[in-house]
Amino acid sequence: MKKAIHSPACGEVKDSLYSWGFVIAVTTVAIPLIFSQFPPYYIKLASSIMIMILYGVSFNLLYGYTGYLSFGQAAYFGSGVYVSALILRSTSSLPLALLGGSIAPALLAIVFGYFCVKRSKLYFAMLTLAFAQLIYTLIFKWRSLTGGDDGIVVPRIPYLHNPLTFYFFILALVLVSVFIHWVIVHSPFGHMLKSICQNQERTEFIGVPVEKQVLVAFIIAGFFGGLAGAIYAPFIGVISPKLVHWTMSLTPVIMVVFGGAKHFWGPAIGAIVYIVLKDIITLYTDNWLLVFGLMLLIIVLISPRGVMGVLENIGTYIKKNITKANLMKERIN
Amino acid sequence: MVLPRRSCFQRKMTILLETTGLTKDFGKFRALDNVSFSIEKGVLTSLIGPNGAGKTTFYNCITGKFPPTSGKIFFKEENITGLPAHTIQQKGLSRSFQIVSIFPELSVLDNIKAALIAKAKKNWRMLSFLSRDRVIHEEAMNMVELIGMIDRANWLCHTLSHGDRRRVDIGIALAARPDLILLDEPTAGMNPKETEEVIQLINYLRGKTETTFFITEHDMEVVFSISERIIVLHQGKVLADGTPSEIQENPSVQEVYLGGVL
Repeated sequence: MKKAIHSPACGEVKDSLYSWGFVIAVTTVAIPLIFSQFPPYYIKLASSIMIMILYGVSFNLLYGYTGYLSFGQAAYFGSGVYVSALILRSTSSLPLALLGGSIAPALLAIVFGYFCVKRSKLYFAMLTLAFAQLIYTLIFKWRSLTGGDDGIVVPRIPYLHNPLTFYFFILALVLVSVFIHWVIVHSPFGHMLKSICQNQERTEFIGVPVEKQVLVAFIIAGFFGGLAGAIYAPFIGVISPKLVHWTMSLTPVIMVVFGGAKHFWGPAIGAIVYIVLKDIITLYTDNWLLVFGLMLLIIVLISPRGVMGVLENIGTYIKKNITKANLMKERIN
Repeated sequence: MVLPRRSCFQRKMTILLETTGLTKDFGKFRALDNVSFSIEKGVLTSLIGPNGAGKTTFYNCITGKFPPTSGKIFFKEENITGLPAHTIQQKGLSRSFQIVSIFPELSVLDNIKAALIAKAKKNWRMLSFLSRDRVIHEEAMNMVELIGMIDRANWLCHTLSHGDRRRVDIGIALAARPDLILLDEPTAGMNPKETEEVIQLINYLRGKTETTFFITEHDMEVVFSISERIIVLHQGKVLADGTPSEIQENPSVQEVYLGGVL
């Protein structure tokens, strides 16, 4: 009999709450335990991976689940960075910076998203890119506020001075945020997003205002993309318009394609691979993007569903062989 | 004068859907020309006509895919002309499409659940698990059983046969328990066995639900076997309107449409 295979295409998620136990165990116990033996450099690397995971996961709520490819997430990440930095400079209150650094991008997403979701997919991508470039230019030119090309030095946060403490703070923030994403994609709202991804017309004709639904997903992605930026500012210390540049919009796209858009943990895997590879390759050559581009090409050719797709294929292959072996044993017996 | 077709719906003359002077132009081409008629509750009505007669355009106008050029549409005595598709759907008017339109990467059950979430207006709930929603789950299971797919509830839809996909398609449209359901050529592209199954399904569902069916069909055998009333559309105009036997005897219908078939 034909068996229902839970395909991960179009946001169909096949993980369970157990995967959370695994993730929390690895990130809270194993990584710091290993890293405490190493120089702080590696703890900082782990922290930036965490931030990129949040950025990637928030982007994937829109792309992987709803099917809308945003090419301008840097607008929300970047505005989060700048709002957070400016608040920290004037008040030096981290909670306020995180709040402002995520609400301001969300407000931005409401305005930009309102126009973007009215367009079909390619035009949607181009429009998001156009809006992101608008923000980039604004930040680049507004010297008196943003320091233009020179950037801003973000004051240190006294109680997060130790890299390991900062790592744990970022970890908690990212775990809570990613868990919220996880709940959202398993909620009735998330079910509607998957429906839109697979058949937009049908979703409209079961009585769902598709545009509004996508807009809300867009705002959520903007909010959490902004939050990732808001924590990135005090973490990195010095910020520049590079963080709002379109290449920053490309980062989550690459991470998601690498890790697999159709799996919840795809962007997380992509973020880990992206940051670690970047770190290793830059030791040997300045043209790290060339090497990374080749690897991306190979992954996409092997499995359009990214690393998660490859892992899944291996998983099904092993399962098949186990059942085969069991059948053989039964026959012999 | 005796009007035999009236007899079958004399007991309840509730008018569900009414159009007055519905006209739709695509550029210079007039796809619908002054179409006026009404659909009564509980009467299985079929809309027939040769290719290009305007059947699908008529459906698209009613369900809000695009607004008519002129004319008015009333659903349950409420003017729904020009409303967006999702609002019309929420008022209790569902449809299926000529080409099966489902969510291919979701299971049969999840397809039905999508329709139920929309109906219950739970589509904004984002901080609760769908799998924990007992009400939706039970309603969805009931619907899956009604369309005869209970043994394949967890199958992904793209693995199903064409006939089964059509079942899911009808299930999605019917899940919201609409007052009126519009099926656009439900047997299109099917072999005789599948066609027979769909006819049986429609007859079965009519008995099990309160929903009124309104069908377009190109297969004359299907039309005459299940319809209680037939409307013939020709070049965007209503050519004839009556019971199957009346339509069969109508000379102008025979001339322009049925030709040598009867």
